[in-house]
Amino acid sequence: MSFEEFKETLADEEKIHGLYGFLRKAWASWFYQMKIYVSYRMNLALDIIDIVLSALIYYYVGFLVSTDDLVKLGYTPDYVAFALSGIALSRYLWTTIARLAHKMRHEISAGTFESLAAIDSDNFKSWITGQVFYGSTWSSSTFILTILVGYMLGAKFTRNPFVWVQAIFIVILVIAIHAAIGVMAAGMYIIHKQLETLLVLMISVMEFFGGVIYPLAILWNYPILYYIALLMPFTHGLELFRRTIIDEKPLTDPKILTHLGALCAFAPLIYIGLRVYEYYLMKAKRLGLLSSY
Amino acid sequence: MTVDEILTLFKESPTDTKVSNVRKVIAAMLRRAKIRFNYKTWMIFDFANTLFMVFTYFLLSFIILPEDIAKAGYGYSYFDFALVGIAISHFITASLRSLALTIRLEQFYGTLESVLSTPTDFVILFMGDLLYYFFYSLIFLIIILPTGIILGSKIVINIWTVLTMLTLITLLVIANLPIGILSAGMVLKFKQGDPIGWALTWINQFFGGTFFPIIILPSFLRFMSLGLPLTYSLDAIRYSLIWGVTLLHERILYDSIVLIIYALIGYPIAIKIFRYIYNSARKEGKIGIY
Amino acid sequence: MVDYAIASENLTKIYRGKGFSVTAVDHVNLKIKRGEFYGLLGPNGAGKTTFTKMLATLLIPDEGEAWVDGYSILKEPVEVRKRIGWMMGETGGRALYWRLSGYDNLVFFGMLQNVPKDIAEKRIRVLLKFLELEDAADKLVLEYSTGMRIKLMLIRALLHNPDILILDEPTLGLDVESAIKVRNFLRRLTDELGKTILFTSHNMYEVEQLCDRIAIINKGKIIFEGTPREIREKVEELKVVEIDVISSDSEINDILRKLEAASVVKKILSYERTKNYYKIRVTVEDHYVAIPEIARILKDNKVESISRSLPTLEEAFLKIAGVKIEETSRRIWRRGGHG
Repeated sequence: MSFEEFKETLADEEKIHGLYGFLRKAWASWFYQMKIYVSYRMNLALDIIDIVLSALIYYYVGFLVSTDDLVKLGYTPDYVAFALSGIALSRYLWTTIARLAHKMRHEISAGTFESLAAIDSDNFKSWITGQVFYGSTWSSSTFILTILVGYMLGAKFTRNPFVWVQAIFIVILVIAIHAAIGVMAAGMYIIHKQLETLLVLMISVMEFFGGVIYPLAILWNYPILYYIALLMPFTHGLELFRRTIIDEKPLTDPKILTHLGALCAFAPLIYIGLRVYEYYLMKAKRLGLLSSY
Repeated sequence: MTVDEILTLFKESPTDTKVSNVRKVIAAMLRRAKIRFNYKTWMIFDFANTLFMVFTYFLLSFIILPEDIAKAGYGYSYFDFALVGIAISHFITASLRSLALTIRLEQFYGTLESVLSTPTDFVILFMGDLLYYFFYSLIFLIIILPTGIILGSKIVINIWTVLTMLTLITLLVIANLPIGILSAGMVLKFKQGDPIGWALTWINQFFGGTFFPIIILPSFLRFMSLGLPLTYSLDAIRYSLIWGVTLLHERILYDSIVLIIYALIGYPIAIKIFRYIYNSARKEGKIGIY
Repeated sequence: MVDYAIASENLTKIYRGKGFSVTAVDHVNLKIKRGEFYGLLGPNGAGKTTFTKMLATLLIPDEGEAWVDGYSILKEPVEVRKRIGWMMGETGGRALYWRLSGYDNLVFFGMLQNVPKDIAEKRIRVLLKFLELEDAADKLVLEYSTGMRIKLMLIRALLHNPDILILDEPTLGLDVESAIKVRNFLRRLTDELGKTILFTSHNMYEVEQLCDRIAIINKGKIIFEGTPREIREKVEELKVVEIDVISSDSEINDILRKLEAASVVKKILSYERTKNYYKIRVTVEDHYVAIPEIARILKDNKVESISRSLPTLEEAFLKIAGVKIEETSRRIWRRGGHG
């Protein structure tokens, strides 16, 4: 290729702008992450083993669970469905909340972050979008696999496609709200590096209080814990999701409505998250912190 | 500082000095500790996660019927059962993964060749790392068991059960280590992170019965369980802490003998395979490549 | 072989992979005397690193044998490791714990080399001071610059006071001042303490300055062995003239054609575009005759300068070995190290 030809390809590149360019770059960022992941075939296989085995563990724990107690606490007697729905949804916690900051730390320490942020902000937004989508793709694959393994193990998830549409709507809402927290945290992370610790703690806390493998109502024994649990969006998201795919409750059900209302109360986070992120990125550019590590 | 001073120092100081292997192992352990301490985030995550796991299983135990636990001979509390499993889970990880992690990290840092070019045997580094993970796991044990007791666990803690537990944990590490050595060999050969060790941890948690007694598994799965040293380690440690019995109890004695047999058979095989992989890596020139 | 510090006999290393096999080191016979400063010179991918790695017992040869201080690298690797200080230069990767301080790294590696902490501390202190690293000693290596890391690796190699030093491109990546300091220091190590140094480089002038003897390696084969003087004599026959000319991309072919046709020009070695002009290198019979003649031929072009130039390593190779050196592909670089 001559230098002239090379220059021409650059001109091509310049044509990629606007929404189309944005999406194309986001797609590229998503695609290459995916390609890298799939190239590690052994990792892929072992991730699958990980998912199947953790599902199997709760399948067998289910044998020990008192179904009467489960029913008394307001769930169906199917513990496997109960636990696997929790595990499936909790797969989104890490990727939405901590992955972006984690990924940024890698890019910063590899020294590639600055160039990414410097070229133009459009590029950078595509990168973030691509990364968020990649994280969601990965989590969604593990989510779907967990649910499928659940079906195979006889978990009584709904088989009604319309109910699944509602469930998917809830999942998307959960992703959006938690990703907003993640984006906000990633922005703050550029300046406050110690935040990563807080972030990973947050995941543990949310997972614990969300009642992934035990019924939330048990927390009634310790009312303070119960109220803390209600402060977390994940708790509401999980309740909504469970009630939908196990009990097939419609959105108009009063119990569902309460949790939906509570979850929607966190929706402004989506706007705030993006703003906070932009604020910190600008601040970091002014202070020249993007490559300091 | 002039070159003359350096040359004089080197001319005068002895060249055939010695450092004992114990000192080297301790130095290797401290090096790992110092490096790990740079990753405080992950340590905090690890501690938080494990503590929340204790709380989670405490809450879960409210809805669990103790019948199968009792049938398996572990008393009447699911929480006691799970607590012991969680408390020693880090030792399981240490024995299965620490060696693979040593290789992985040395490759990743690019220090593997640097270390191998010294007269010190790589085993010293293995020992140092293993010791680090052992103490790290011990901290978990020391935090988790009292937390469990505060939450109402009735496990029996006295000088005899603690001594028995430490002996059994040491046996656990010794008996599981051959699998860890093989896993390290795989990392040296395939250079794909440490997924094998990771999967091994899951496989062990499932088949070893960390969260449920293996008697509820169907017979073909239980058969696989009985093939893993971890099953015997967990059984012995649980039995001792739940009933307050020591090494002299026949069930624990039986488990211990099985573990010793595992070790006796496992090491020669594991070391032979590892040496083979290591030498072929030296032949192919693939030792330090990440 | 006991009489030599380092001796190799038909040492051969072949890298095999899917669908390819490369002989990185090809039947190399070298004999390095005790107290000798020996340079191994070659381009990237020539087999320098592979050769030194075999001596450091990190690689098992496919054929042949080598002895370090009389000990076989195959049969007595531990004895060999006790006697060498091995350092892989900048291109060799990290070789230090980045998440430990420089000081901690040195103490730890000292221990692995059987140096007790008290003795190590004394040596570390003077060497850190000499290489101006004392202020950074307690910082994580992560925060070091490349030059600082190289200095640290050099200290690491010296710490156990080995009789034989195997240094793979030790000055690559150092600033000029430090490089001079390190070279002088190394030279005095052989002169005054009788250390044997095997030194690899792709910088011909550095090797020429330092070494008692030099071997040139290309594609795994030793193609020349001798003293710096012998090399210089060979290379001095090579008379190179460098022409800097301002030219457009289209004009350059015309200029090259003119030079090719000129009787004073023996051969066009290379031409490359720099920021403002083209740099053309040609060999000539006699530069006193050639320079004015070239100026005359190019009088219509915008000639910036015409001057006599020292031959590059590649050009010297061409002369010495009569073959064109080839940089081996990146793939092999990744498989087998870098030199």
